[in-house]
Order: sequence, then C-alpha cells, then structure tokens
Amino acid sequence: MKQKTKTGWPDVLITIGTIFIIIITLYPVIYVVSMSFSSAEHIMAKDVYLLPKGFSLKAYAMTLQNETVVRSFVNTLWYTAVGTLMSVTLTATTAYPLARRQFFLRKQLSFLMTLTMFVSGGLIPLYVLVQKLHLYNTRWSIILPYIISAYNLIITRSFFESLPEEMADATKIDGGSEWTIMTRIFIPLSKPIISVLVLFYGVGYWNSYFAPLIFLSNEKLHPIQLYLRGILITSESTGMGMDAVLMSEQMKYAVIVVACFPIMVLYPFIQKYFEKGVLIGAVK
Amino acid sequence: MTAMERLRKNVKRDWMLLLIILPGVIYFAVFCYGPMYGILMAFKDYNISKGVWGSPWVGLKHFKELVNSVYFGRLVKNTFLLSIEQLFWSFPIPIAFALLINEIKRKRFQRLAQTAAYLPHFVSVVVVVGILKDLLASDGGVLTQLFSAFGVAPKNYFNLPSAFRTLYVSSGVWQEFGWNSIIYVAAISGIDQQMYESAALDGAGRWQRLIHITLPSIAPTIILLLILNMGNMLNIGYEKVILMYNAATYSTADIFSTYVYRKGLLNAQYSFASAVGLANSVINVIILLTANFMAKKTTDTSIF
Amino acid sequence: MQKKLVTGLLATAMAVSMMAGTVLPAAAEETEGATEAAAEAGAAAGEVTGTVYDLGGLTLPICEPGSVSLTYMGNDTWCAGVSYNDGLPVQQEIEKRTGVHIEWDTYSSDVETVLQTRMASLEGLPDMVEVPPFDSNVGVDTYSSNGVLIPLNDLIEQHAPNIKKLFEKYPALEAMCTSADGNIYALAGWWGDINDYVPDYLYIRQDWLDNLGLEMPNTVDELYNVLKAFKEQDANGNGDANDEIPLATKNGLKQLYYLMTGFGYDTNSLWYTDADGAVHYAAVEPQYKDMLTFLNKCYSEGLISDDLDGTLLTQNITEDKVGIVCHDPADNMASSDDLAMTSNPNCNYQFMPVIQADENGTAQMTKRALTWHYYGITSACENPEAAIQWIDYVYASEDGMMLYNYGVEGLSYERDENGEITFTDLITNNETYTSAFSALRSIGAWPTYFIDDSGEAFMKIFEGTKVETACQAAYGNMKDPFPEMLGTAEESEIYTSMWPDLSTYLDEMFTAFVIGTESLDNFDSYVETANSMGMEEIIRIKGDQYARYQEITAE
Repeated sequence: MKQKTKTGWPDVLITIGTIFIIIITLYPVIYVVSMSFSSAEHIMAKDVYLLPKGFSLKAYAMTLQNETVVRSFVNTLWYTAVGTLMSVTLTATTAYPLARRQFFLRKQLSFLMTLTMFVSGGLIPLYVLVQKLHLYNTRWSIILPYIISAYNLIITRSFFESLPEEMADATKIDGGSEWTIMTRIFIPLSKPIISVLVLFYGVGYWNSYFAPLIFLSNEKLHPIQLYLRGILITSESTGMGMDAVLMSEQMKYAVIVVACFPIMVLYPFIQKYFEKGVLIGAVK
Repeated sequence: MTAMERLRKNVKRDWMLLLIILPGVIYFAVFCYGPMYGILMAFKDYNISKGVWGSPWVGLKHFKELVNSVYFGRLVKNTFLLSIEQLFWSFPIPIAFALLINEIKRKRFQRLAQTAAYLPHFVSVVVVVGILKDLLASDGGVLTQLFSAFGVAPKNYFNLPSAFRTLYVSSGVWQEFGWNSIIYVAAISGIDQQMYESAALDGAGRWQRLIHITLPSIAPTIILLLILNMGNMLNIGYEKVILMYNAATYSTADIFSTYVYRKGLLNAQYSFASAVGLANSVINVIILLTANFMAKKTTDTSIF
Repeated sequence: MQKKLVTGLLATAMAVSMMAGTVLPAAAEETEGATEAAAEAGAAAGEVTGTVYDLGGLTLPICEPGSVSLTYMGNDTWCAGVSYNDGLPVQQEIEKRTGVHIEWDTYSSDVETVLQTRMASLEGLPDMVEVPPFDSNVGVDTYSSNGVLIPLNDLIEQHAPNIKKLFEKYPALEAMCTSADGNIYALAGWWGDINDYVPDYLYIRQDWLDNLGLEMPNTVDELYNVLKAFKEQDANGNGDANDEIPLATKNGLKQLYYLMTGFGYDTNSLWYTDADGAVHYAAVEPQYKDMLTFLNKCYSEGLISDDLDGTLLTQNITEDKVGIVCHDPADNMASSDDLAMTSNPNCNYQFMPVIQADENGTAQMTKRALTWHYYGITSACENPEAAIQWIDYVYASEDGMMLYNYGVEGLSYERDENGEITFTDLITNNETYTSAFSALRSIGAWPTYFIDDSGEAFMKIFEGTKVETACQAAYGNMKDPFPEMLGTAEESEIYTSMWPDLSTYLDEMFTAFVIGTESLDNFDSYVETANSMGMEEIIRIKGDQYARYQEITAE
C-alpha cells in the first residue's frame, strides 16, 4: 500500500517512540545472546551489558554436543508442527458453528466451552484420564489434552462473526451446504485470524513444558523445553556443590538461544498475513 | 412434546453444523468436563487409596482453614490489588502499541518494531527477573545509577513492599505487551481500507481517522478480550512472584497462588489446594459473568 | 582417618575377592579381571551366570541379569545436562553387578509436581520413589497411611543385611526412618557420615583481614569491628573503599541465626534441648532479641548486604566484593575462591571460628542435617525383594559405596598395591566439569537416590586443599543437630496446618527486625503472636518426637 503523505511532526514523534520501544525490548535478547557467547568468569560476574565479553563458544559446545538436545529439538519440531496443524483445524471448525447465528446450540455451547478457561478439575483427574485413555507416554499426550484453547476459540468465533453474513446466506440460497460455506467462504477470508492461531498455538506447543513434564516419562519423547527448564532450575536451586550451579549458569543462555531462536524467527514470516488489504483483496 | 419437535426440527436444519462441531464438543466433554469431578476434592479429605469418590466428606473444612488463616485478609487484598494493577496496565498498553505501529509508514521499520516487541515474550521469566535484579542492584545496578543521577538515593527496590507491585507489573508489561498486541494488529489489518480513503477525501486528519475508524473497528475485539482478561484476572501464577518476593515484601507480594504453593504443594495438602483453586474459580466466573453482562448492556458485544 | 579408609577398602576388596572364588589376591585389580572374565565366559556360553559376590550377606547378582527391571522416580543427577537416562558408567556398573535393570524416571525440574501427581493418583507408580514433598517429611506419613508406600521392616530383616548393619552403626538413622507406628516406610537419605566432617558456617576473606592488619574475629565485638573495617576501608585493595559488602547471605537473612552463639546459646541451632532434655525454639526466646538487636545495628550501618534472597551473591563474590559469606556448606568455600580469583588472584576464603559471646565462650557449631529426603518402595512394586536388595547394595554395601563415592575403578580412580586410591585425570583434570565433585557426578557417582554420602570420600575429593583442613578441624568439634523425626498422623495434621503460616511469620519478622521495618520494642508482642499461631503446639510436638527419638536410639 503506497500512499504519498507528508512527514509531519506526528511521524517524528512516532519514530522516536518506536525506536525507544525497540531498544528496551531488544535489550534482553541482546543480553541473553551476548551472555551465551561470553566466557564463564564474565557470566558469573554478570558484567556483560551489551556485547559478549571474553568471547567463548564453550557453552554452545557443551549444549550442542549433547545428543539429548538434538533429540529433544526434533521432538519439539514434531509437536509444534503436528499440534499446530491439528489445533488450528479443530479450533476453526469448532468456532464456525458457534459463529452461525442460526445454530440452535450456539449460546449453550459457547458458555460451556468458555467456562473451561476458568474452572477445571485439577491436575490429578486429568492425569488419571490420560492414563486411562492410554495416552500416557505417547506423543498424543502432549497434543490431545490441550488441543483447543477456549481463548483462541472465542477470538476465532468473534472474527467469523465479523464476516458479512449475507455472503453465507447467498451461498445457502444457491444450495451450498454449511461445509461449503465454511471452507469456501469463511476460511479463505480468515487469513489474519488463522495466522494468529498458527502463531499462538505454534508458540504454545513450542514453549509447552508442563504437559510433557506430567504426561511423558519416556525421555526419548521429551521436548527441548524440559531440558531447558532443567538447566534453568538447576541453576537456581542449591544442592551440595556450587560448581554444578556455575556449570548450568554457563549453559543457561546458550540453551535459551538454541531453544527459542527458531520460534523467534517465526513471527516475521507470519507478519505478512497481517498486512492491510489481505482481507479486502480476498473479498473482491 | 413441542420441545421435542423443536429439537427435531433444529437438528434436521443444523445437522451439518452439529457434525462440524462434534470433534470440538467431544474434546471439551472428555478433557475438560471429564476431570471436573476433581472439584469434589475441595469438600473432602483426599485419601489416595480411596480415590476422589471414596474419600470422606468434610464439608467446608478446607475453606474454613483458608478463611481462618491469619493471612487471609492480606492474601485477598494482595491478590486483588495485584490483579487490578496488572489489568490496568497490561490491558491498554498492547492496544496503544498496536495503534502506534499502525501509524508507522515505513513497512520495514514497522516490522522491525513489531518483531522486537514480541521477542521478550520468549525470554524465560527466571532470566527476566535475574536481569531486573541486576539492573536494580543497590550497588552498581544500571538503573540505580541512572536514578541516582536524578538524585534518588540508591536503595534495594526488591526489599520495598511498596515497590513490589510496580516491579511485578512493569516487568510483565515489558515482557508481554508486544505479544499481546498481535491480536489487535490482526484486527486492524481486517479494517476496510476504503473507509480510510473516503475519510481522507472528506478531509479527516490522522487523529480523527484513528478515533473514528480504527478504534471503533477493533472495539469488539477489545471488549471481548477485556471480558476474558477480567475473568482471568485472579489467575496469577506463583512462579514469577516466588522469584521476586522475599521475607521483606511478603506483606504486599504474598498472594493466593504463592500461599497455596507453600502450604499445599510443599506439604502435599491436595484437598486444601483444590479448595483454594475452587474459590478462585468461583470468583473468576462471577467477575466474568458480570463483565459479560455489562458489555452486553452497554455495547453490543459479549461472549455469550 | 586415612588409615580407616584403607582398612575399609581392604575389607571390601577381600569380601569381593573371596566370593569371586579367588583366594586372597594381593591386588583388587586381579579380582576385577577375574570377574570380567567370568562374566564374559558366562555370556559366551549363552547362559546367565554373572559373577557371584557376597557382600555382608547380600548375594550378587540379585537376579539373573536382565530378568528384573525396576523403575525409580525422583531427582535426576545434580550435574547440569547429565541424566541417569544416558546410561552413566556407575549405573551401568551397578546393573552389571546386581543384574537388576533400572528404568530411570528422573527429572531435573519440578520434580515434586511430577511425583505428587503420580503418587496422588495411584497411576503410573514407580517401584521405588524419592518421597515428595522434599522440604518436609509429612509425605512419608501421607503416603504410608494411604498405602502407597509399603512397610520395609520385614524386607530389611530378611533381605537387607547391609541396611541392618547401617542401622546398628547409626541408631539415629533408624530412629529417623521409623514412623510413629513403629514401622519403617521409607529410608532417609543419610548425611550423618559426611556431616561429621563438613562444617557449615560463615567463611571470611583471610586476605582482607591481612590487608587491613586484622585478626580473625572470635567474639561478637571483634566481628563487629571486622565488619566495620571491611565497610570503611579498602579491604580488597582496588582503590575503592566503598565497593565492599562486609557480610552477605545466600539463603535469606534468616540464615544469620548462625550468629546466635554470640548471644547466650552454646550452639547455632534454632531447635535445641536444654540440660533437662526439654525442647526449645530459640527464635521466640528473650536472648534471641539481643542477636536481632545486633543484626539490626549492623544492617542499619550497611554491614549486611541488602540482597536479601542471595540472588546477587555469586556475582558479588566474583567481583571481589564480599567479605564474609553465609552459605552452606563447606565445598562452596572452594568454589567461592575460584570465583573471586577471576578478579583477585589473592582471594583466600577461610572458615570462621564459631562466634562467642566473650573470650571464654565455648559454643560449638551444629552439624548440618543428618538426613536428606526419604526414599521408599511403592505398592506397585511387584518384586519388593529385588528392590530392597538393590537398595541394600547401593545404599549400604561397601561395594556399592565404592561405586557411589569413587565411581568405577579404572575410569574415575586407580588403586595402587596398598589399596590407596587416586582419582584419574577424568576427575581431577576434567575440562567440562572443573570440580572433582561435578566430574564424579557426571559419571553417575554421588547420586541423588538413596543418599549415603561418605565423609572420607568427601575428604579424598578435597585432599590437600583448605577444605580438607577445615573439615579436619571441624571433625569431632560439632554438635549433633536436632533430630527430624517422622510425625504421627495427628502431629502431621497439626504441623501442616500451623507451621506454614507460622514459619512465614517467623521469617517475615526476623527480616523486619533486622532491616528495621519493625521496632525491636515489639519483640514481646511478636512472641505472643507466634504463640497464638501455634508456636507452643509445635514445640510440644517436637518434644514428643524428641522423646521417641531418645527411646529408639537408647534401645
């Protein structure tokens, strides 16, 4: 979208404000990355402020040599890809009927589904259920128990509701089924919300550590976040032997970079679907 | 009879919709409502070998224990104040940021700002709190030095009860505002560009376009999220608080979740923990319903 | 002590070699060879014989190799990024000798959450478990009364000769493993041996004292003067007189109760018994106020770090800023040295003598806790006999202790013809794991399960260092800590309902008195409030438990 406008003082203010925001939000990331490339004594002294001090790749060597890291990384990719695909699909198909004003269970189901955001039976019954369904120690235990988030469901529903109803009605008159309306009209118009869902679910699966912690005892199936958490928490707790703490202190930042980098770079790719005109272009 | 007939009619009309929503309904029934019986634990003395159903009823014993704690009043106050302060700041800032981003003309710069703002979301809270403590260390912390340049005497803010909520909320906002703005950015992207163009032709300024087009267009999203956020208001996890509080700041920092963590989890008191959880849920649902009702009355948007 | 070690080793070697069928070999190496040869022969013949050891009545292998598999659930190694799941050498060796395969269901974060979920739902129970929650022992009562943990008495009696011997050697251990109903449902991780050696007290920069021409402080007044000097002068000699932090704590200000010996107590333990055997809790007694007054004065003069939860301690040590460190336990002194040496090569931390009220004081340090976590066998275990024998081996047998403390012969240590042990380069010169401790843990030694740490081995690891000197000085000069006994159901109920709030209150008030947000004039009302919150009740429970302890240990 190109528009010719003058650059006035509001633009100057906006630019300055934005630069400030970029600086304060980019800082922790730069800090973590710099720490991961610094040598042990500077990590301990925490005197790295901007650039790495005493450049060292030891932390990465320790991290990447570890076959557990590589294996968990691959597991995480699997959970994220499969989980996101399933969750986005299921969320969209569940939200669609809830967005149709004619649907007679619309209100009741919306209420019951939203309620699950606020009320739950607790961890123990859920764990028992996962065991009883024989999902325990399978890859599905990471995906199925949390496959739809009520929050995402509600925002998707509300996006669908904002789409012009007339088009659906027109299709209906032409003899199109609800399935056709959903797949031919609603879904193609929903790129922004689907991008949001991909991002939310993708990041959710990528960062998920609680489900794997509780539902997977087989280490071969563990995702990278469990490993990362192990390192992070070990460095916080005190057992006997402070040098174990030092060790994990050193690995901490490298593992964070390794574990977060791929998902951090996801955003710019999804961003393009947020650009103006996508929706309208599709309608016309 | 008529109800039956109506149902039959409805099913006949909406069978395709029912079929489409079936997998979702099964999910919620099995994984969300299936384990709901766990709530009973709050009214029982959970006995592992007897299971939830077989454990003896104790009525409101665990609720009474909570209410009778000398800390109950303080916990209520702290939990509510922290929740409200959190909502007050963390809700509008992402909206403001999304609007700001929308006003940037250079696409590259816009993308850069957006990506940068979203990055802190990925930094573990352990690291965030570590960085914060480092920046605010009373001897030599970067921010402490900055403050003292403005004449503020160095002190350890992590030991000040009055500073806890500010530290908690501001670091939370800093970490999450970019991430939370995504949904608004997406909503803004859905606005019809012709509206802006015709407004521009009518001579509407930038500010007017913002007030009269952008904001009203994303208002439903804002209201929806406000309702959800209010319902979730009291759900503040213990993890970050535990990293941030110490014996000097309990008076403002200790909230229900940290209390349950210390008393319930660290002492294997399952029934007590679920009683507190349930009380929390009930209050959440009441807030949610109220917010939803108000929204329905005043605007046209609501969740149900 | 060195002699004791050698005798122990010889006894082990003899026990091993006798059962392996060799007649009194001169060197243990030969035995190793023989056993390996036997194992190979067995494997080659396609039959499962293994090597048969007899260790004080325990026969190895416990089962036909590979026929029994048990799961263990609990903490993973304390070595970052290393898991028992990786098949570590020590655990492989244990499997080879016992024939029992262990599935490691171990976690390095959120361990209690995982454990409690499984224990509380009775689904997916392991065979052996580290009993949660870790910070209190109420779990043993909760899970035994619910039938999750099985009684071990008969199993120990019939199948665990080495555990019986360990109990005979340490009646305190048996007492702390015994529940109020007289049964044993869990074995406590045993620190009684190692903590005879390991002091847990404040350590101080000897080089700072030297720089300023000060003597090692012995009394409260001397301590105050040293703190003051550290604060006011340029103790670290970097030209900045203001960057020194005289005293800093790792685990919160409350750890400074260590200084109570300067105020009318004869040891630094909050729980203690008087001459009549009555149980007291120091923090609600009048003398305690004197200590709080002293600490308050120090804090207000900037002599104590305001980093209350110790987050910045390691970095401050590294930056050559901290004069006195309050951080358990001994080996941290060595690590602190290493840290500070990166900015000041002269750094020299030394243990401080116990602070006395005056020159004639005779107060002594209290040892660190005697136990650490509990371990049990669950009702899901189909082969508790094998489990208890395996535990007998790893927790109590001499052979198992060698693997536990020194790792695998040939890999982590060598033995010369006199039975003298030297660690290999893997341990002393490890590039990744710079301390011997971590290096040993990285191969699976010094495990987190069925803990029974050896003081001699600890000394061996720190041989020739000042940690060893400090341990030698502390040996025999420390008082036994107050025993942590398992409670009755009623005691546990009272304890879990009162203690969490009460301990929060005590911590909070300690801090408030020291940092000055609460006036010490309110000390009496503080004691009153504590009593109204159940302090007396808790003291009564501790008294009953202490009586049971004495009863059992007297037997």
